[in-house]
Amino acid sequence: MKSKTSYFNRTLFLNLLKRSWPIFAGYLVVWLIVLPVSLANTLSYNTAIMADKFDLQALATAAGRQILSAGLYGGVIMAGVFGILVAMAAFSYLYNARSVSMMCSLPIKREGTFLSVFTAGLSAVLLINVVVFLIALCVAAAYGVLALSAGYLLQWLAMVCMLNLFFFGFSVLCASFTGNIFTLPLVYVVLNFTAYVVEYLVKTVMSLFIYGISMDNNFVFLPLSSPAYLFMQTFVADSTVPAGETFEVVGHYYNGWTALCIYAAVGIVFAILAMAIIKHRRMEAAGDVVALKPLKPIFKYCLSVGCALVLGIIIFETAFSNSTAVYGVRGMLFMLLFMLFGAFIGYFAAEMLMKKTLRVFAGRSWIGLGITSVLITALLLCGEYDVFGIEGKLPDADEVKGVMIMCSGESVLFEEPENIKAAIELQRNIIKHKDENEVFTGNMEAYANYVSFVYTYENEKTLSRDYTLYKDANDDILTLNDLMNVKEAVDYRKELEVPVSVDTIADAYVSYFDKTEMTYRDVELTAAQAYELYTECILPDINDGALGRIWLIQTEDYYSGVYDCTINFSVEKRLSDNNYKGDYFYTTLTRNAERTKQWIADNTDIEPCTMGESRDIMNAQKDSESKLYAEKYGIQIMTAIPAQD
Amino acid sequence: MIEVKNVVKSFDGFNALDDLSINVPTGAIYGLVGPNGAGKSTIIRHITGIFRQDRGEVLVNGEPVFENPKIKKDIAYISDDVFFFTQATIRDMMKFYKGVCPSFSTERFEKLRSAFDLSENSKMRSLSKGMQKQAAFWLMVSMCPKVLVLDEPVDGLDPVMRRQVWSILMADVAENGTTVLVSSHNLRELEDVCDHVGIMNKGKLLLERNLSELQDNISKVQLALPDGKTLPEDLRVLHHSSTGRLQTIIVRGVAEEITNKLATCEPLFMDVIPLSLEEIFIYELGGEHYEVKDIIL
Repeated sequence: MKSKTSYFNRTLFLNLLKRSWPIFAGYLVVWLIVLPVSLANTLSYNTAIMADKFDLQALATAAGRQILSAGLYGGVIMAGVFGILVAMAAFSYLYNARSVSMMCSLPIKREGTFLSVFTAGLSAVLLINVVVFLIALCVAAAYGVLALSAGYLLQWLAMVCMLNLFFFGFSVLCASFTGNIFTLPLVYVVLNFTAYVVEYLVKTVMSLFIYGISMDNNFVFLPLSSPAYLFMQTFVADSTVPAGETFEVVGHYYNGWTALCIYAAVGIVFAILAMAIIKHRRMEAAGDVVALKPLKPIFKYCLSVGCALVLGIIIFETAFSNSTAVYGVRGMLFMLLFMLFGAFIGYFAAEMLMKKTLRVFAGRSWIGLGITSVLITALLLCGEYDVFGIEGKLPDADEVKGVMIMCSGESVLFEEPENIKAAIELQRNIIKHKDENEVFTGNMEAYANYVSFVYTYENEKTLSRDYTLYKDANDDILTLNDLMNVKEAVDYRKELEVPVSVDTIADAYVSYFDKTEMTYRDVELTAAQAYELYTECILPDINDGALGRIWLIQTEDYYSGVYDCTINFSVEKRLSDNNYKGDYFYTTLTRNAERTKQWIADNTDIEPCTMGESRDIMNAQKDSESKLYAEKYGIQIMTAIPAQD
Repeated sequence: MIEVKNVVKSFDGFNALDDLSINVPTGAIYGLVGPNGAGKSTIIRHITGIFRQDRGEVLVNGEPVFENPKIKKDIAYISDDVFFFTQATIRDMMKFYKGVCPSFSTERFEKLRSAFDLSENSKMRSLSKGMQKQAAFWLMVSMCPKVLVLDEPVDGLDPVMRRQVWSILMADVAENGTTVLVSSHNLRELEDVCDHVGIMNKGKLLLERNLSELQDNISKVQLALPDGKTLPEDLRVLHHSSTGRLQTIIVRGVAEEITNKLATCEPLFMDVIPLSLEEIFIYELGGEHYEVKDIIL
């Protein structure tokens, strides 16, 4: 009799489809809601609001954004969730000694079993994708946008299929080296976000005791956390064409095709790797947390280090949430203590999980923990004493293309060489004044400014550093204040992303302190007024150096030379339905801004007062209120509230 | 023919199989016995291609079993704890085995229907453990295997069904020359069906014989010796007990040789009693420090 055994078995293939139909039905139902039903709703709504002026292109564009967004966000979530569910169903036989015995005694090679159930799971979800695609096409056809939406739907199909390939491949890989059905989804979720979370935790730990380490959003290992990468780095973008001064959105496109293709290819590699692992897997490992022997120490040390990071940060932040002075070596030692505790918990938890016993504290187990502890201690000491030169690292001005400095809600991009050099010099001084600044750590009374430096090198790499500057520590904050008001900085602040015109100004007002009423008031401006004020007064005053400054620190010049009066307006440009691009401008009125002052005097009844006047009025008011309060309740007031510096 | 040659298998440093060798002749019913944890189920999982040995060879009909579908299609296996898909009925499982095992005979499946009091449409999960065992036996025998490997096959079956199962097994061996390897703790039943026996302990095979040879090679003698007479020193006594003058000895060797040696002591009374497999098992393992211990509570 001819043998039926091969690398594919139809019975196993159909058996999985039959056993797992509820999962596939769930996948179909959710997608039907997310795409065709939702698409029909969007098309119906847009058709209704376009009753007066039907625009087929606009309708298709609205549908396009929704379809591609469903492909990205829905695709990642659906492929991620159902990938692991299907993998759990397909490879559940690996996790139980009884099922292992049954499946592995069948006259089918392990590769044959793998390929049969893998193709069953994958082809089912891909088939469902096609069904959803066809139904969505019917919906588009029903609303007359078949031709314009077909491309988007094809893109959706490609996106979702590639995401299925990746997430199912990844799920299957996790299934191949775990030995417990409950561990599998846990491992899958953890591994999906490990790179991102670990990098975040490492940065958090470093920022706690390495002076200047930045908690920026630049994650080097983000692509290794696929869901985070796809959500944070890829998106549905607008296709635009020039329309007058701005642009008009004529469609949408997905900007992450390269990433998706790479992820899909990686998914296939993962699946091949999983097949190789299952072929050589020790089937007696059914029920173990980690089924592959070589992965056991990796699991143990990773869990130990992971717990060291997580518990170290949690305990440190909890213990010192109200602390006033935990920094430097002292802070590092506390962090080290908490991390070693975390490492201990993680290490022995891993041992307990793998050995399935609580008795894991025997002599030799401590050797591994000792090694982990020594490494953690060495790394923290190296960090604290800047063995790797992280704290003192300064870029070479010749290699820097630009530096973005952010402070007190203001950000300026410096690209002129002398300003870049000034920024580097300022950072050098801040590092030099580390001890002076750290003394004020946690001091709520001290006047502090948080400043970020983000250098962009010529090769597009970046270097980020963050510092907290204290007015009472040194003059660094004054130097920074000067830098933030050089001409390049003032010009940077006046440039808006949307060109300023009467048509683009959405909202404009002057906010000032009304000294007669002793309160702040807003005076609305029309778009025309705002445009006139901006172009004929503000811009010339800025060009004369009389307006456009910011103040990171309040000096006597500030109180005498600056009005408690700001001019604000927002600009926005409609790109498509519910899609706007906008920017915001504000400036603080100064005594020297003659044109602007004159315009306000001519066009409004505002009588601006200086910062010093408003401060004194406010303090007097507080003083008076305090006296009234004291008289009412019989409290004796020892001193009046002093005027601020 | 099943050949296990010097197989070693360890689990986390523990040697479950320690240089184990077994030979099961074609057409034999081979009883594999041993205490709990001896490694019986482990070697069975090697013979059925589930586990891969660390060292040594596991051959069926001269070919390695592991990852060899050509050989595995001729092997049917009933584990001590049978597994079926959760929602499956007996008919579903029949279709499944028919799909994966080319030798599955629907005709035989239908023939065996009357032997088991089971409904084809019953969900496996609704069946008792004993009924699941019956279903497994029904399905496995329907595969027309050349080698049938059974791990505690009648565990959980009622006496009638045990007899039914053994009867089907014997008939299959008689008609088709099926080789059967059966592991069981029920030595009384094994004694009735097996023609070969292997005794395992601590991952090793203590002995492997044809059952009649085994029984011929160990004897139980009851005798009473005259005053002043002692047992000959060259007797290989496995066990010795006495009640008054009456002595009971378990001696390794052929009964005739033993009685000839004992005759030299001029016993007042002597009787050779045949040993059951259970007694052989107990006395053989007694020599391996696996005996019944007298515990005073």
